[in-house]
Amino acid sequence: MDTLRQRVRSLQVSVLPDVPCTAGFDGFGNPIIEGTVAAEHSSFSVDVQGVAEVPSAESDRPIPEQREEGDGSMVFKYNTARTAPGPAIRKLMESVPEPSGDIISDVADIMHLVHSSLRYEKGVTCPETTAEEAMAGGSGVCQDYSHIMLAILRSRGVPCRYVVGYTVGEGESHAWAEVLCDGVWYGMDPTGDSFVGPRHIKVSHGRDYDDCRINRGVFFGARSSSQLVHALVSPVQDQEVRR
Amino acid sequence: MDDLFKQTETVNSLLARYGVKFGIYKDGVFKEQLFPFDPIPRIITKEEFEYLEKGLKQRVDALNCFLRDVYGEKRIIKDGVIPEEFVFTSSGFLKECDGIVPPKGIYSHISGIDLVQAKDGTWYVLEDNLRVPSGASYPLIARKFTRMASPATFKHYAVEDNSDYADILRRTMDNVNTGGINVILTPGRYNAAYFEHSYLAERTGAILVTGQDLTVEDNVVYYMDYHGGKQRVGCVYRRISDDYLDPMVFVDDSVIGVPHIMSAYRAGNVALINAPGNGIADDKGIYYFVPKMIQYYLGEEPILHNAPTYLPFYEDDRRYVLENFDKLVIKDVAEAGGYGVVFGSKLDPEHRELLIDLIKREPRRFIAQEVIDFKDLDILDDEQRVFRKADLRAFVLTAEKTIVWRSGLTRFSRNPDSFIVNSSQGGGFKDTWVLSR
Repeated sequence: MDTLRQRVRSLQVSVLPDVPCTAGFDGFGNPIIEGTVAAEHSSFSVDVQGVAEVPSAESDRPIPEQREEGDGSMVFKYNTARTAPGPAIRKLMESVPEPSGDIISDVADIMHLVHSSLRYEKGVTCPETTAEEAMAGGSGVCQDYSHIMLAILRSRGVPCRYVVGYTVGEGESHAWAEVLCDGVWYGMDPTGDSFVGPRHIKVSHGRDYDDCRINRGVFFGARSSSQLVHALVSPVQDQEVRR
Repeated sequence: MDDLFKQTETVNSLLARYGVKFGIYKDGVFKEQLFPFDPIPRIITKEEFEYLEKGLKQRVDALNCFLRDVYGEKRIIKDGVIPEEFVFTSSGFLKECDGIVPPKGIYSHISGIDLVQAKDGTWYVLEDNLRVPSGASYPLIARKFTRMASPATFKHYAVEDNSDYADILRRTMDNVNTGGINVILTPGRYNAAYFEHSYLAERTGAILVTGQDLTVEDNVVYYMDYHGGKQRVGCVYRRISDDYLDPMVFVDDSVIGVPHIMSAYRAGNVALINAPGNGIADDKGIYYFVPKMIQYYLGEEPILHNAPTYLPFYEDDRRYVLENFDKLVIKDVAEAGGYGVVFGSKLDPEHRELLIDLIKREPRRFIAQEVIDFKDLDILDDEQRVFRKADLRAFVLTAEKTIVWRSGLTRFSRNPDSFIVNSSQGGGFKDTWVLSR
């Protein structure tokens, strides 16, 4: 998607088996592409390639991601089943510094706190893990860092949302949080303890993980299935894009 | 009416033969049971019905205004009439529906409003059902059979005909149809109300379909018939809850839904009856605010009363609830179908403490109501007339304008000590007669 920080310069989507697809938007304003394969098939794949333009340098201030013009932020003020705090998160919240009056620096403090309170470890949590479960366990991945940060912010009445995207490197998707301040959404990455900038490509946002999965689908048939995801993000020079 | 009583068995056996059944799941096992019919009708006089009709129209019109507002401008929240957390923490509010304006701006096409009458004659609205209210088919078919079994009865009583339900329902579907056929989408024959789905399809000329009979191409819904032909669908009267409607948007392992139907709906290419997201308006917490909605949107005083209700969310109400716990009925806002309803006085000390604790911790989750002294209705129990608790589900349909069906489903509790009349809890039903003079 295009935001104040990023611009999609090119995008090619191909699906196999090849079927017509319809582009649209979901209930959160995220662009979606959808289709149905009616014929029998034994595999299904989606290949997405593209170039997104993002700022070239890290910033020591958060970078505006999107403006919030309507009243769309109301729904992002409240915890969901996934972000609802329990004893572990409530305990962590006791170490949140007193508000300084500057929302951005308060939120950055919370980001630092979340970053330093959780150990990054793959395979301990799963997509169904809630913020509280991850916090109680003490370790997790980007999804868990983000959910915990949202839980704390929402408990303090700060509108914030979950973001799915990619970061430079090879592997899977990434997740971080966005915070609304004076009508502008800013991206904050508690896993990397950084402001969202040159290394992030945003795909979608929602209240939590459930709202913004990159792929969703169903199939009918009495077979089991497995899924393989591979993402590769590498920097390209401006000239290479212009061609 | 004695003749009708003599024919009770005839009517009940006709109902059984026509498969007028109600399925329930108990301990994970599906059981189909007859929905016991009691021959003594609930009789509503012409004047009384006119009063109810006015009140119900007003209520449903306000609820439709609320739904349009809450998924649109949200004025009622911004104006502070309803606290925003009551909307956004409710499982009934579907962000996925935010900003969608359904065909003709109608959200609740078929509303089932549950009322009870107190001993002093006052009617109270107990709850609004704006998602998939079921039950109209039961008095509809029961009337047909009672007329067959005892035609003489209807010579003596000037009863408003109720067979027009199918016509009203068809007009309701046609009104919002975006071009194409009408279908009734059922989860299948193991659904509690499958009889109703099939009967209403038969009576309205709509096609009864399951999710797999429908397909979405380029944001248009099609019905695939048995010959492989494709017909465009303009209106889906869906008898599937929002959660299972579209696996691409809601519960993703739903096999009874229609993938991509929400996109077709968002694009304005199909009408969904009732609109997804209506759960926010019949949320038990939002119920408290319905009289305020009537004043806010229509600038009128509510004609029908809510049962006196308290929200522990508000401090004053919480204090009242805790002080008067034993004379109140406590409802968990997340539950339906008679589940999650507790009478304060009937709890043992241990559960009482647990619930009080929970109310203090999660006040938003509960409402408390005064126990209404129901006017009991007589039912025939082995040829004896006995009195039982009963409610009335009125069906209010919104097409070009809002119409109240001149009948309704009267449900009663067969257990003399029970206040809960839900069919899923083993109650029976009566026909509801509206007198024409």
